[in-house]
Amino acid sequence: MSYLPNWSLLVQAFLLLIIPILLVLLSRVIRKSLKTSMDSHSKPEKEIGLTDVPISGTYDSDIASIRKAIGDQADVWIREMVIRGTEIRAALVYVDGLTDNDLIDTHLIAPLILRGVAEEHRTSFLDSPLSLSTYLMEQLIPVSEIKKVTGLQAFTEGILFGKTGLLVEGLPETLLIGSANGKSRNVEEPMSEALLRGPRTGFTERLSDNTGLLRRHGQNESLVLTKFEVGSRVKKSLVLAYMRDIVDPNLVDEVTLRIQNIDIDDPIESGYIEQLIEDNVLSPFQQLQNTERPDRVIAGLLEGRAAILLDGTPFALVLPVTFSMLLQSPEDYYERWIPGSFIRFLRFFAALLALLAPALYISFISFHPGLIPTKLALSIIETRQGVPFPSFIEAMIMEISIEILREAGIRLPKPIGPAMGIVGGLIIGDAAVNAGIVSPFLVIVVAVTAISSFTIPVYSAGITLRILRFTGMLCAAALGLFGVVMFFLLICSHLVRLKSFGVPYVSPIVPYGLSDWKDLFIRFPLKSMKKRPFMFNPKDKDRRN
Amino acid sequence: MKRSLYFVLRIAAAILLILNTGCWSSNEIEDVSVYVGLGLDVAQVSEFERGIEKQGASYPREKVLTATVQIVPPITGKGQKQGGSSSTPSEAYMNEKLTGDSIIQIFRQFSLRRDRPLIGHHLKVIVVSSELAKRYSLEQIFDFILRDNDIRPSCLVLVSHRNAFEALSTNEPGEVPALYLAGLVDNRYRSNKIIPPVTLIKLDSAMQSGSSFLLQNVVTAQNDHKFSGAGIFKGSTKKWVGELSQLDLEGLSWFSFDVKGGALKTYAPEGYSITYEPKNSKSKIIPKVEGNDISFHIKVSSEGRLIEDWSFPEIPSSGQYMRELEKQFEKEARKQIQQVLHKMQHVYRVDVGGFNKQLRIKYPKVWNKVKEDWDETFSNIPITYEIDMKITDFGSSTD
Amino acid sequence: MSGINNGPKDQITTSQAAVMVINYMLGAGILTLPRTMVEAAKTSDVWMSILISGVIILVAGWVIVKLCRRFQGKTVFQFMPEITGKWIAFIISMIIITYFITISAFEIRIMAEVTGFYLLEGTPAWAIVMTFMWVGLYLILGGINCIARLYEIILPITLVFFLIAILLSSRIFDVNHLRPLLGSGIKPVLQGIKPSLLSFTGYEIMLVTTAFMKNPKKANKAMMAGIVVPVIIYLITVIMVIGGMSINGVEKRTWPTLDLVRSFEVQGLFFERFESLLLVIWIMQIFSTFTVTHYAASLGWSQLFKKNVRPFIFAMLPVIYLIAMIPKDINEAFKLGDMFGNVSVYLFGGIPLILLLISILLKKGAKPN
Repeated sequence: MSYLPNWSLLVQAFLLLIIPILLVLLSRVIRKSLKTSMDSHSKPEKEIGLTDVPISGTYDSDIASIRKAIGDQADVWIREMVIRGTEIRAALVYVDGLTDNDLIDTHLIAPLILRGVAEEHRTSFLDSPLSLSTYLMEQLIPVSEIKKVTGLQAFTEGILFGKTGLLVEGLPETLLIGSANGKSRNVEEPMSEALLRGPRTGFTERLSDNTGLLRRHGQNESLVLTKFEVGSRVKKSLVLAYMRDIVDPNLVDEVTLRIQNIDIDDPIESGYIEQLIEDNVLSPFQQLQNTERPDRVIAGLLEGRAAILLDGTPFALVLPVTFSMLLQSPEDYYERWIPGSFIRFLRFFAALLALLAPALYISFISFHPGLIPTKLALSIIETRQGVPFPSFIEAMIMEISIEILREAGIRLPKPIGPAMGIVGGLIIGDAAVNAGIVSPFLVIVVAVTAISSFTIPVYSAGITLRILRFTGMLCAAALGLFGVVMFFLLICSHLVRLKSFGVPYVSPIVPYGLSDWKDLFIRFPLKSMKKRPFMFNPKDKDRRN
Repeated sequence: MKRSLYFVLRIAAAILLILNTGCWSSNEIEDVSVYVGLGLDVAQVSEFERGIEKQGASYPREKVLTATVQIVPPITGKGQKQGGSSSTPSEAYMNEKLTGDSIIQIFRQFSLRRDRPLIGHHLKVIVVSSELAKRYSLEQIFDFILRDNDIRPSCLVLVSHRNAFEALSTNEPGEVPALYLAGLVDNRYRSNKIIPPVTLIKLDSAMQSGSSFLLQNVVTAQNDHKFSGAGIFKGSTKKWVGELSQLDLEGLSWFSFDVKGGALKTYAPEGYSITYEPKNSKSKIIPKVEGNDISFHIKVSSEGRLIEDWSFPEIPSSGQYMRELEKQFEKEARKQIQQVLHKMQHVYRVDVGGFNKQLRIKYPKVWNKVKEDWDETFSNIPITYEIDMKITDFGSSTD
Repeated sequence: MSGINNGPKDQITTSQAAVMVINYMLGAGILTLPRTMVEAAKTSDVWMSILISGVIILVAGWVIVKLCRRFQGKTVFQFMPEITGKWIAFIISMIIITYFITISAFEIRIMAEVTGFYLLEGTPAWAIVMTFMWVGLYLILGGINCIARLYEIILPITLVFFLIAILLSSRIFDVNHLRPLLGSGIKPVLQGIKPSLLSFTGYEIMLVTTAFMKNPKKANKAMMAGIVVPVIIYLITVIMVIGGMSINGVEKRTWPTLDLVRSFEVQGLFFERFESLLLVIWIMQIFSTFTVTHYAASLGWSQLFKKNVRPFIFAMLPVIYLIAMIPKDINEAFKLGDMFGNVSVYLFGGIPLILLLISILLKKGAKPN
């Protein structure tokens, strides 16, 4: 009888059960609200106030309707003229700043006004106006990209996208001439992924430049670039790149499906795409890898992965991604394998440190003074004399100020950035110790943690670890070393459940596979890495023939 | 649905961890008193205790023992002025004394006096005074210490000739006597007068096995310490019965522990002192059983160098001279062994030389028969020994 | 979102099956094994008992694999009715489920006791246990594949930390503590077999996991590896503990393995004290034993009643908790563990053999090629 549980035990058991169940119910509510808000997201009106009318061929009415459509835009210019040798009026419509004025002057205006239609052809156009357009295209205008358009809407859209429109009297169609010359950056070394050794090229904001960089990487027929249009209000082109004979076709299907399901008014940056197609929105871990480096994208493609490039951003997305890849840098492969492996090992260690060091500090200082070496314990006691806070608060103060410092460092103008970093880091740290707010030992821990988190080659992965670090500190503050172990198990449980486009996030660490381990903690010599990663299920498994 | 569910669960686990932040077990490291040394003496009521007892602040207890805890770093401020403490502010440690008949109760009494509770994780050295060990069995004294979850079994146990409190005091500013004593043990490679360290776990297994054992002895004079000899504890009672001197230990070391260093001094025929430094020694205790008769044979072979020679006029180190010196050293070692065997067999009648171990390994059946009364049996067993010393070199000078 | 590599059902690889057995076996027992064995046998030769019982377990494991391979893709709860008929199968399944629940509860209790004693003195047990169980719940909801993957992460950490901690204890290792060999004959060695058998419970998980294996033909290999690794670990543990502390020292210590690691300090190394490492990996191992038994019990219920497994996973939480809290003190908890260890010997040593014989005689199930 005495073994029957008493009421407090029963209450605990009840709580043990009811809390997760309540959380499940809560999650259902959240899920529903998320879904309805997604559904209610109505598609914007396709029409932007323009009704699509065909080009009539009557110059005056056409030019009037063009003016009506886009003439009130400050940067739309309409240049009217008469084609030499005929009485035919024509108008060039273009957007200032999007087009190349030189090209318009020398290759459009000059032929039309100065050369015009040759004597022997003049008469032939009068009865068949359509052959005029053929003449213009074939003999008069020396420009590579030229297209016939019949609808007014398509015409104005083309102009707004940077083409030059040519309206010719009597023609029931117009010509769109490619003269785009939007300003773009030169190919520069990527800021966020600097390497000591490796190509100095980075993507730019222009999609054609970026695809060009991929193409130019080397001759290869199997590189496929598929174009999509995303964005309902602002249309942007998006390119899905993959190697035709390597990639798993299921992956391409899945990605295509997800891209087609994107529903957003304007994907401003590839981060939008990333968040709209990832597997688990609620995970702290990123499920796509972003990079500015073409070499990284190519290496990914050769592993059987796919890449997404979006117009208007230098950041490409590589997918799927696994946890270990976030800690790999292209340099691992460019250096010889021994230094490469060493550096990679160091990075794994640093990641662990960045994640757990403050948590371990808290648990040892506040919970398990018996697990620290005696001499260290004695010196810690001496340095901590007079620190008014428990270690958790102390560590929080320092960690948060370091995070603020880091965030401020990004915003600071370049010339004073480093100076402020030193001021913040050294002076504030030193002053805090002198003021007795924190102990010097903690300053070391925090500094090591901060430096460690900078070794992570993918910046966004570093942020993830920084967030998790705070969770770890909380766990440590509650349950000491046991809490840290639980935190670690929780993260691991989450990681093993997470998938990126069907690939388990913890691959290739588990399941065990010797072939994929050659590129994990130790980067094996290139000669021994004969297979492509098995985890991506590539069609062509061998790296060589 | 699944995703959000999992996320919520994860968040929940995290949040509950936070809500659980009662931090029940949390205790900042600077808010506890770390003690590195523990001295156990027969009861000596301190001034402070007498003072408070006069005011009626006492609890029922017998005056059995006085426990001294050595707290580092000393608690500055008000802790210093309260009575019982005998240390001056310049010292790197603080000794606290309290008397009672239960160690744990004494420890808990500390929390009535100090705002920082004691934690024993960093206890390095326990010193028991021979006086206390003579009256009470070590099993009684160490019962709490072995049960406690704070104190690590790696803690070193020493016996003090006089007062354990004295052994934990020093005049040297900046020195912590407990750490100093713990450090002395590491000098075994320099002296064969130090026995292998006896940690709590070894003490426990020695006491459980019922055999007699030695604990390193600390001698104090003018608040300075020295390791000298060892206290003998009888297996049947676990009480202190006597002491081996330094010289005895040297003799014992030849066959009982591996000699890692030291200096064997004797006198050359002309009367000058000569010294041998053993480098590599091997010893073997060979038990022999014939019928009911047990006997032991000790075989020692040692290699080392002639490190000091006061002979005047100097004698060239010829082979023959070396043979002669080897003989002298052998004779000296033999003398030492004989002396310690005599003490073991006839003075104290205990076996602390590891003979029982060898017998148990070689003749487990015989051992089972005699183990009940081994110490007595041992005192009547004939022991023979042979020593072989070899001088391999003469240091850096060749003559 | 549906995965790409996901088959219709969760599947595990051969190495994952082996890892599950290893992680299940390494549980609460490793801290107490040297003491229970020395208590029973009173000799330093108990390490031989481990070898012998390892061989016995291998045979029992072989029987289980043989049985399971006759019924591919089915767990013990699913194929037993085919052999014994519905009602007997129901009863045996219930016993097996109860067994899993109790082991799970036992592990949790021991974990709470040790954590409360060495790491978190003063923290109430429910706080420790609830956190532990919720993290476990989160993992189990991911299904057997996630469980297996987590174990694969834990195992190398365990092995590395364990080897570091235990090999450093060679500083106090004295081979004389292990001598003489067979000083008191073979009989004590045989007496030591029983307690060591108890700590080898865990191979029975193959009754469930074989059904999930991608390649059930290799179940034998998985079982072999799954048993040999714990045997080696137990062997090293017992040898090092007895060698370091002698049987007299081991006998009176509640957690001898932990005490062994606490018995030395390595000056100069950053850690100096290694029990933290040991406790960390030990908590992880308990976690894996807990989760796998919790999952197996829930799966058993769900297959018995042919319902979705998730409600059962939730429902098992309070049941396990209450059972874990039944023993009043640690000795009663140890008794509970011993009792169910004994049950396991009959349940998973005897019954599979009988089932196998019946199924061969009645020609039930497919003959494995």
